[in-house]
Amino acid sequence: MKVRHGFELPKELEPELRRAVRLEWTTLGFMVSIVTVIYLAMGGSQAMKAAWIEDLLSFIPPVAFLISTRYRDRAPNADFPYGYHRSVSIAFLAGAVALALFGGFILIDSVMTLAHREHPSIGTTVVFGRTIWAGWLMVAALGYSMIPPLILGRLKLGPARALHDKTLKADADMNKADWLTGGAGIVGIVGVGLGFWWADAVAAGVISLDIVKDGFQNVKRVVQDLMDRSPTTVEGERSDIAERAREALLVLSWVQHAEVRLREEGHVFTGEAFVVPTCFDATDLPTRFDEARDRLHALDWRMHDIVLTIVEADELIGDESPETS
Amino acid sequence: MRTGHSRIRRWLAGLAFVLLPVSACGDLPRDPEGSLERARGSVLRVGASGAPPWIARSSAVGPLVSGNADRSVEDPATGPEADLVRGFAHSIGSRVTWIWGPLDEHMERLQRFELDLVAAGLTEQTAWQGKVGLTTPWLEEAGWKRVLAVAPGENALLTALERYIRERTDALRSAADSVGAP
Repeated sequence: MKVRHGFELPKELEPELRRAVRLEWTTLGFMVSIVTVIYLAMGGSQAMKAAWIEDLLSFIPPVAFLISTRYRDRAPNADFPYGYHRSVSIAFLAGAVALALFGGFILIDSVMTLAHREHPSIGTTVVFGRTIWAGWLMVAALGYSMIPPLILGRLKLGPARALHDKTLKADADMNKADWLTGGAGIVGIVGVGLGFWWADAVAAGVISLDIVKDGFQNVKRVVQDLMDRSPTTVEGERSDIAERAREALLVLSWVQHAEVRLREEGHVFTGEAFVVPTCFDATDLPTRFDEARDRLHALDWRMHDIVLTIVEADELIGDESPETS
Repeated sequence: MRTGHSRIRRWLAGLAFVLLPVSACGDLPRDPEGSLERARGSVLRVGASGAPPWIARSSAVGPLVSGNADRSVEDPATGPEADLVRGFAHSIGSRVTWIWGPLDEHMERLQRFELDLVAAGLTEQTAWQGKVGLTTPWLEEAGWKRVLAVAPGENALLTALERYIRERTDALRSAADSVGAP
């Protein structure tokens, strides 16, 4: 069986990748500390529980990213001739679905709390030998949870754009929005302190809406990825790479018509190019195909494993895309 | 980068603006239903169920009036838990009205804010956990963590009671020893 070539990142991008990996490990380290701190300070607050779930949610993109960088080096083999990228997408999907459902559960829970008029009890705790209201500890924990993701999220945007890595981009976006969770939680706890029993549940509801939104966006993104959507930029706009590939083929003297179909697999574009040759001479066909493939792969560092096929002219003309039909 | 930093600075400033005046108030947390304020200079309504040796009714036969809250009888409760509640009430300038009855009824009333506390030899593992406020353990003996129940969300009352308990951990321990706790 012919298995794919392994994909190699261009040399000049390797520092960006190393930087991204370092940032993601740093993120994991901070997230572990944040999740621990929030868990320890949680008490009976629903807002804290929601913030905790939100923090768990932000584990998925870094873990998915780090696993995918590890698997990036793993070559396709006879059992998995297309390589390993999809396994990461599937893991990402499972995680995102689970946490989106979790967010929905907390949302229902906080609505029920409001409906039943359940008052949250927050007592005292001892810090350095002093008895303080536990709410202050929660506020401190939430305050801590706001700062590292905000900084890390900004730092990740650069590598995300350079590497065209959507997992990294999703992660950066989630991190950047994370301070809203902490802020909502703080408002909730302080609200309870001021004697508004409903503030905690309302804050939990706001946070869970954000979790559901994050989860839904992650699910949508990874499902589109698994459905072989045509390539997009990290900002989610449609890329013109397929059109540019078609034009690159049309420049060739022996190509009469050409169409290109691409999908994204993780960081790379793969797919098929269909060409209608002007003349047909079987002897120099391999050379011409090599040349065409080289042109396609030179268009972008992400072009990988493009399969060239010869078709008859009427096959391409009859093959209209939905927008033009 | 510059705009990013100024934005961070702006919301940090905003957060400080919100938090500083709040943390300046020393009277937080407050009670949504005002239990602590109401009890000061008045009565602390305590639902009690016999749980010897922690709390017991000194006279088994009290003048029980059937009906609602009139069932409350000011008979002196005995045991370290009763002493703890009485001491706390005294510390906030209040006195205890004991209401004796079954635990489930007390807990229902506590959730309707018809009682302030429930003293019934409860442990931290009580099935009412999460429905009502539970204090920090006032006594730990033989793996049992004895707690009092507070009306749900009455955090000023809960905080005041917990402070009282934390200041008296040793005294409570010796009081428990004197009634023969393991």
